[in-house]
Amino acid sequence: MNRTTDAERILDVFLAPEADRLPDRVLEAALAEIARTPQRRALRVPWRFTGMPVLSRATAVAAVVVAAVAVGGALYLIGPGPGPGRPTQAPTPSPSPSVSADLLDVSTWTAFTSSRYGFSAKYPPTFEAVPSLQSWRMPDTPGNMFDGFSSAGAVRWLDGVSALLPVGTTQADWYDEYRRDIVEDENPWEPETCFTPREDWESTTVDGVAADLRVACGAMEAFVFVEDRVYVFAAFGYDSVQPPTDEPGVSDEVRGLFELWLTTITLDPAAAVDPAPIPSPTST
Amino acid sequence: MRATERAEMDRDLVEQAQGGDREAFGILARTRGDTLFGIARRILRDVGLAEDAVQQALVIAWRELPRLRDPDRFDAWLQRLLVHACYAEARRKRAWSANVRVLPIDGPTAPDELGWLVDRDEVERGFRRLPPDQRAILVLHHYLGLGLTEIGEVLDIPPGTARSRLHYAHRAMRALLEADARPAAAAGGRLS
Repeated sequence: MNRTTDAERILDVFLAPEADRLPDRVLEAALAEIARTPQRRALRVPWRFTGMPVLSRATAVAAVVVAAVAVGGALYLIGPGPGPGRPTQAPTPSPSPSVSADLLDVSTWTAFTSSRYGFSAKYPPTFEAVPSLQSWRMPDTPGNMFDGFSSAGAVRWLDGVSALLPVGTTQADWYDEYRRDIVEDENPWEPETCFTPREDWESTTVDGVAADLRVACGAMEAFVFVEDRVYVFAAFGYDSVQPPTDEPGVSDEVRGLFELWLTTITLDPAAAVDPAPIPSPTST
Repeated sequence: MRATERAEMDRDLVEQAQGGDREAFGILARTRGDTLFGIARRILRDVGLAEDAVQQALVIAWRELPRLRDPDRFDAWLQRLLVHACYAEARRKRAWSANVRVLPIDGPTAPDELGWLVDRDEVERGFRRLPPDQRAILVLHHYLGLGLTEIGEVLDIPPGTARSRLHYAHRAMRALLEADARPAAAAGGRLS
């Protein structure tokens, strides 16, 4: 008799469904605890289902590291660690001839056009596109509002969103509101120490437009204002429920890939599809 | 009720619960409780630990639910939380594998097919010697009947990794059964 089949057959029977019944007292105890338990706020980096259709995780990690080195070059190898106040380095993808990884050639990346937010971007072959399921709104409670790109490698998540600035809202107003949303919410998304002062932010460009670059705790964000629209692009080096530290800073891998990714972005505010405004009670 | 109608109803309930509706979550918990208990009981081989794991998983699920991106994947997500809760329970009981109170085996209502294959106690002993992650993958496959892709979703591993882990778990179980059977075989046991 085939031993493998034996073991599997034994397990089929041994673990077979029976009339399992969770005692009511257990369920009631759980529901009683739930009645006292607040829900956590939605995380921007969603709970991830593994999807690595092309390359293995190991390959993904290696490829991202290679990309970071290529983008940052010696800066990352011999310079100080990334952090607030660091001078902006314009990303210049310049693949090393000794590196054969497709990742370094963004022309091999997959094109993605947001059907909602008015931008196009490319993402590496080791990532998986995860389109948004609903429009972004602040405070950003649902976790499925972002057009994202998920990876099981060192950089876990890239994403982009955009929204119309409310009439009469300045960039400074918007930043203030965004900060409140991130750190002052009843259930804050980041520790306050992760949201550095504006004067510590860096400058860069996205599709030729000036952008502000914020280094958070294990993540980075770029803010671009075009006409009456604000874009937010981000990279996260973690997918746990909280940032790994309460100190601002990102790994070279996160910074390298994020800066390379930003070079692939094309802004098209006219293509954005915004949700219908909520009618005021007096308009009906 | 058709499967599509049920799926739509479940999705609505998940979305309501994501918005803070405890009543909706209660319905989800009640309809999943028995299956969750079945999984935990099989992984942990202990009723009390399994109850604790289910309770813990449900509370965590409620707390983290707004962060679930796709409501249609609620069940896989919940099962992942449960498996992690089982690991936590297993860690909490360090002496668990050697000093656990015996799971009462009610036995199936039909004649015990297992008895035709091997002594049930031998299987119980062998299974208890497996590490929790191997038990989990065997339970997901043999109890829930999940394929490699679904196992990968629950355990957050690629299907290829699920395949190899399942293979190693089968191999480990087979080795344990064979090791346990050798003395029995010498004495005329059923495994040879």
